[in-house]
Amino acid sequence: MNPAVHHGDTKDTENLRKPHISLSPWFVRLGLWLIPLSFLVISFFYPLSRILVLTLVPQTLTYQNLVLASRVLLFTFYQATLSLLLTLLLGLPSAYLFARYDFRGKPLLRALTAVPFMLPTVVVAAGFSALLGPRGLIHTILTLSSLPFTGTLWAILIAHVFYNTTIVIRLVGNALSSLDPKLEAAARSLGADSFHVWRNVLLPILRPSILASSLLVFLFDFTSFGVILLLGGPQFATVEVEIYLRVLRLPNFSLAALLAAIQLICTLTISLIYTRVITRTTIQTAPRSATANTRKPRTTSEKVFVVAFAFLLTSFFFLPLSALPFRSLVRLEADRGQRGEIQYGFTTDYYTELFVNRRGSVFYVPPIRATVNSLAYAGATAVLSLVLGFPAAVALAKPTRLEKVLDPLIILPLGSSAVMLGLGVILSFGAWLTSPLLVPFAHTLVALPFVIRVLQPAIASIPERLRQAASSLGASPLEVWKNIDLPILRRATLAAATFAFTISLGEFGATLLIARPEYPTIPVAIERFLSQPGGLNYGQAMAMATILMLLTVISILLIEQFRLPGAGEF
Amino acid sequence: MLDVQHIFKTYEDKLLLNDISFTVATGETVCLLGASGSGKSTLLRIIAGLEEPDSGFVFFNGQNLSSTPPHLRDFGLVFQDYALFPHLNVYDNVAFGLTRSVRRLPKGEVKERVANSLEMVNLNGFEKRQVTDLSGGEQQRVALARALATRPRLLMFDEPLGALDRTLREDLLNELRMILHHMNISAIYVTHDQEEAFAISDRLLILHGGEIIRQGAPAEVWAKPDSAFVAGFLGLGNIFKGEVREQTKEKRWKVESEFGFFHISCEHKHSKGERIHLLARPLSAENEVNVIQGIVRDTVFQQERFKVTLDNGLYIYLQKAPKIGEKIEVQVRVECLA
Repeated sequence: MNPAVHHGDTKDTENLRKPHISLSPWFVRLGLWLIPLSFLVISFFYPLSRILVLTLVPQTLTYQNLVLASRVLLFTFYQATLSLLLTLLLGLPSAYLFARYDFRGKPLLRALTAVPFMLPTVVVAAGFSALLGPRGLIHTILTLSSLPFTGTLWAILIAHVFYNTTIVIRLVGNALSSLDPKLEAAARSLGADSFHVWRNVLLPILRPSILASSLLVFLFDFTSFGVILLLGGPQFATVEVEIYLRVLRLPNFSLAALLAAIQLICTLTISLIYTRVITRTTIQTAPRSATANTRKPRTTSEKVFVVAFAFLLTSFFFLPLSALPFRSLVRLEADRGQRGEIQYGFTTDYYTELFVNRRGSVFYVPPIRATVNSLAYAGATAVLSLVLGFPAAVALAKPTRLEKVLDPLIILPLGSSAVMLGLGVILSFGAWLTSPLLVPFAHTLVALPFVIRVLQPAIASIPERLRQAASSLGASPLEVWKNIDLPILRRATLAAATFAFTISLGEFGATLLIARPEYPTIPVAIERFLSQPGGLNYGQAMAMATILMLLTVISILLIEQFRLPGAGEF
Repeated sequence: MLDVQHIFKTYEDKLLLNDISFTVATGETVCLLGASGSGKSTLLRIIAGLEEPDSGFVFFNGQNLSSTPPHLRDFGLVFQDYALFPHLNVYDNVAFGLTRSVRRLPKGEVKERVANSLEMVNLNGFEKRQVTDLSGGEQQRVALARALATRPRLLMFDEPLGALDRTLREDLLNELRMILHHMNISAIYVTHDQEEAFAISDRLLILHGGEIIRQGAPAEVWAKPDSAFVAGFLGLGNIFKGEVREQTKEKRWKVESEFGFFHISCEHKHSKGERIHLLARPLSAENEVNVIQGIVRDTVFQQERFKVTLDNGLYIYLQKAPKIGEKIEVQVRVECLA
């Protein structure tokens, strides 16, 4: 017995303190939802309704608008389908390579193929421009001006493949690596050749994962914006690019709204099919450990395949990424009319120029301000999305009927594209466009679903027992939160915050629409530099993109660090 | 002294606890024994303050705890899944309760208490270890040390050994019993395992259908289960129905069943033709009038004895294994369960 312990106040029976019980009452849940839901209503559902209302008026649904919209839609489908086919062409053999063979540098190569997916679109576009563009390395060094790249459909397709191959490698590769290679051996022993092994054994078994990855790739290609705008140019207008053009270049808001509504229907349909496919994919044949199924290539043809493909993947993924920082530090200027005589050499001019506020430049401020703006916006986005995401994640961690209804609503902004979100914000809060606050607001909308998805499982993984044990040891509800929940969630919170930060840094579509000219972000600044003539502007775009790439890579490494459990697994 | 009075609790429209009252004296270990879903864990959580009863009270030393939140009750809790804090090492886990605002102890005393508690559970030197690196048995020892360190006025165990294997369970159970006696601490021990219950408790409470259907010292309950459910739940022997034929003497009855006629002595008043439950203890007893017989179908070696199953479903413990197919006749004690 411990006489020092203070026991409950018996006199004060009126002041009933609620015991710490597992199922919080409905008003607590509603309180948790209040802030995130109000935010979503204001920043997403209200703008969405503005778009839909604008779509359904007779002035919008004109013959001319509909013809234009269907032409744009057709091209969007066309380029997305081509991109998907090319992605599968590279992705399926790559998935097989990673799932079946061991070779030196495999983990590194695998990581390399995943890097583009996490990079901002402007960085990828800048990377390809640095490698293959008119001012790029290959062009200027080999003076192959007869080989056009930027401004062609090929540029778009290759950038899409570069972006999305990792999805196929991940999804199909995972399915394949959990598949017993003895199945292939059995098929061969029954007389099937390689073609029949693929056609009659592997493809049917892998079909769900191929389908799932295809839908995902198609979705990303369908709503792709930065790559198409920066590498293709306005003549390759997809729905997303056309919305942007109809907002900023040739203002026609009703056409923009119509396109946005059409795009939303398409993306939601694809997402819905994807969700259905994914739930069916989980039924798999007996899974095995992934390491047991890989081995070193043995026969000559296996060795050729492995070496050739590893080389192909390495060059395809490494060259654009390395061309960018390289090009930002090298002057490559062919004098006008004197093709072949190139002045080149190492330079830091492109970086130092970022600090200069030149009269007549595309900015009213030194371009480096864009970096400061981006970091500030990203910080604000991280804080805002944590403030909004935490209560929602707490509620979703222990779902009741209320959460089953609200969960899809929270994720809905994911299904809508960035430019569309920007359009909605402009339509709803056009009067506020002078406020720089609008940017982190929009970025939070994009980041919130990711933040919730990172926090929710972490919160759910804390057993209620821990809190009960703590309170039986004398911890007040506040102490329980401070000493149990917070320390355990520290890593997940940091990961979520960095996630939001990274998303904000690279966000391009929505920002392009709503950022004020004097408050550019890094991606917006890169776009402006690229759209201006002159080697100096181009070099500065490379420098900016390199800075953005570095910041993103650092963030990605940090996220991985936070996600890795340290002392124990929890 | 803990005094639980008239606890009612419904869960999803089902009456889970129906007017539960009992006391736990200082230094006494009371075991709540019941099948899963019998509401024993809920009762424990109500006492701990983690859940509210629909009605009823929990008193400790005459003080009503109904409005006292769990962290001010000073009741220790040990869970089946240990509930160790994964972000803290062994020392910080055990010290957790000692550094809370309700009883913030000076640093030196915290250190001493942690060392004491760890010694009590034989984990000296484990202070710096990560709890996630420990085995299940070690984790449960840490959980026990953590609960002991605050020296709670009541210790509660919710199936604390359920996740451990058999030999570990027996070892820990013996240690636990010695610790509880040594500290003279009041304890409630919840389990569904009757062996555990018999081994640890000073008094047994058997929970069934939301009510305490039998309570008493383990030996007392074993000798007089008083109901077919308790006898069956505790695995005391063969339970079957019989029909009262006649009263042979004062408190002596002749009963007919599918296994033959039995003569029982019984305090109850029975009427002719009444259906009653009988318990045939599986141990052969030399000077009993009652006999069960049958053809041996199966024998299982169980260390110091054989469990022999007969073709009619009855079982019996014998020192020597009979042959399968052999017809045997054994004298046993048969009791009335009413």
